[in-house]
Amino acid sequence: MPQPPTDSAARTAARVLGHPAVTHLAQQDRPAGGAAIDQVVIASGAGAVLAAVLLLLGWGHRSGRLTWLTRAAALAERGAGRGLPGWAALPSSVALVSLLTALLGMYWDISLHISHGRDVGPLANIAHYPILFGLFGIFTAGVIAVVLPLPGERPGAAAVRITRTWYAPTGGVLLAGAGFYALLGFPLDDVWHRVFGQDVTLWGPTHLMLIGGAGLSLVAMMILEREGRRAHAASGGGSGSRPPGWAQWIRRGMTAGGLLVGLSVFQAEYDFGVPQFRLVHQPLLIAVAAGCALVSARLWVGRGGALFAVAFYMLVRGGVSLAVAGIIGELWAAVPLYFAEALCVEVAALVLARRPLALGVVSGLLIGTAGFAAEFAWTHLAYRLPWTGDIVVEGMAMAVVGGVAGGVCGAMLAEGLEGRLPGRGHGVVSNRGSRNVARALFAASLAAFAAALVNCQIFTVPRGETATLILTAVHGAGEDRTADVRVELSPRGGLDGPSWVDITAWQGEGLHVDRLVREAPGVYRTSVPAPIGGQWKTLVRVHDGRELAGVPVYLPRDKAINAPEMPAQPHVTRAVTGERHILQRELKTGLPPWLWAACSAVVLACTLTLLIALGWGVARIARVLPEPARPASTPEKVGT
Amino acid sequence: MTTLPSAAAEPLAAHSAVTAIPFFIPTFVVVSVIAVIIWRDRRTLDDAPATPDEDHSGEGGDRGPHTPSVG
Repeated sequence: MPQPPTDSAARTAARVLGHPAVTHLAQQDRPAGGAAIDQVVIASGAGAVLAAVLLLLGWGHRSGRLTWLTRAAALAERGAGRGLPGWAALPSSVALVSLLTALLGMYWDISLHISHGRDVGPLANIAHYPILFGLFGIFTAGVIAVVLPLPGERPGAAAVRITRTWYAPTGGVLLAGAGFYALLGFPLDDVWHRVFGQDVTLWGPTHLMLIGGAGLSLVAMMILEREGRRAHAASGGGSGSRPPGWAQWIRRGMTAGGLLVGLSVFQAEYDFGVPQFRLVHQPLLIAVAAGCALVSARLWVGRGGALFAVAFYMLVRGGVSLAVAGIIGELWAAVPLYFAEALCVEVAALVLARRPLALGVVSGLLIGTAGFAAEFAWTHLAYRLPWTGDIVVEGMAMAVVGGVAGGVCGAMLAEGLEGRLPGRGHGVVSNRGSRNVARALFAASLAAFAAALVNCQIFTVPRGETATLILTAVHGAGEDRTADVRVELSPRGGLDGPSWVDITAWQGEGLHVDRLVREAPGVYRTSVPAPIGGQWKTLVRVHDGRELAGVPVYLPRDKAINAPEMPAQPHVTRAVTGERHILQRELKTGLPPWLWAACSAVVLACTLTLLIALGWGVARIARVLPEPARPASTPEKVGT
Repeated sequence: MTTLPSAAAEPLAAHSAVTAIPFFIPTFVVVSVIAVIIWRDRRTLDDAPATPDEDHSGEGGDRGPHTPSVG
């Protein structure tokens, strides 16, 4: 399915949305100032109102004056919430709606930045609001879970003590924590941009907090579901009989599918076709997401759980892509298929369902090989920048490492949620021994993933290479000027089956990605005219092995950052350089390297805190809500 | 290089902080309130361990109809 290189629907949509900042101001006139005091005052006032609402809700409910929360919780216990107490069912529903809202906002926001560049002012980007409301909703869902249990009521044996009469479910605390961590990304993001410049990339550390907090909140939701199920079963249920198995299957399947969604959004730049890093990241990240989410889905949901999780993921991610591209009129984001990976997990589980760690490892191997092959083919159908032979060896190696690391973590997640500790039956007899095995495996998986990531990150920029850009034909004028371009690289024989050679143009109210046609070794031409006017930033991008480089074709004048225009000349030779300062023109130069390390360390510390907190939560569940003993002849059961 | 060095470039857009203020202020407020509640509870525990019925957090006072939340 060939992708149209230029999305001018975005242009129309911008006018429809009435973005004064976009339609009337040219980018070179965009203001460079900070926020006005009156805006800060208004925002703080709104914040105070929201805080008061939350506090009133909590206090009113706990003092009995407000029955609204209780009634909402009773409503949530129907449908897929059957079999869960209100303090688990209601937060799950609130979190589900919030996550969908935040996800929509995220893809909308990324698409706006790709097609229009940096934000003009504090309130100019409409897509920030769904993100903020969504992340705040996740936090609120956690607060609801903490506040709902009435004084004297103990929400499950793993509950955390607030006061002598007030206990909160562990999952609820972690859900609020994940939401808090994600929201913290906003002010930190502002600080980051003040220090380093207004970069337009998804993988700024502070952006990762926003995404990661939302994605990892799914783990907190799994913990909460588990606590809720055990508490409900322990109290004998409402009518004394077990709730229907389908309710739990669907509920858990949706949650596991949500985890897959959460882990898949880190690759968003690749989904849009404007990745700013090496192509081999994509197979690694796909495999990690598949390993972790799909193995835990199969073990936690039951037979067919991995396939259902993928179906739910497709519904959600596909729906968001359709909404952003079709309804809002912004850019189309492709999604990885994950179907083959789910099949791999289900097939492996036919043999290994009772040996979760082995299932994790074998699934990871299958995901890294068969899954990799399937995604390879899928990128040729659905993606702007499909995978090429250039990344087969390294990509598969990365996918195998990622798949196994993810699979082991997914297995431990599912097992911990069911109250089973790793290593039992393999000579590990004590609880402490099991916990040590779990910690060691978790640390080893993280380390393996980190090593693979570092490998992917390392890239080189060719030295002494130049590119001669020849405009063979020019069409249109002014803002709508386009040209057919021939690119002659020097030296000619430098590229050997590259990952990509393309002309990418963005931030001109659309996105244009055109893989260049190879005429001769080192000589390429465009297949459709490339934009070379208006606010477009157009460059030739070359990625071969570890080399990642670009040549600017056309760059507009940008007053706010003192950047001159780089016109598209009929015949010009330019140096092949690193891409970052072409793609991220606003990045400040000349900053001391320790500054980046220090700021990244702050983000890393916050992230490790969240990861360790979630690991603690799962371990707590495993310890305090152990699996009840069962006779050896019982067939494999899904779990309570 | 595609940019000229700028001596004192102002921040291009403080978008994140201002739009986010209404949302993360409440998180700090709510977390602080709960932290204070926890601290007061632990402190009362140290001061008066022999009084089992006191509830200093305020939310255990006169309650309306109590609806069990299970089932």
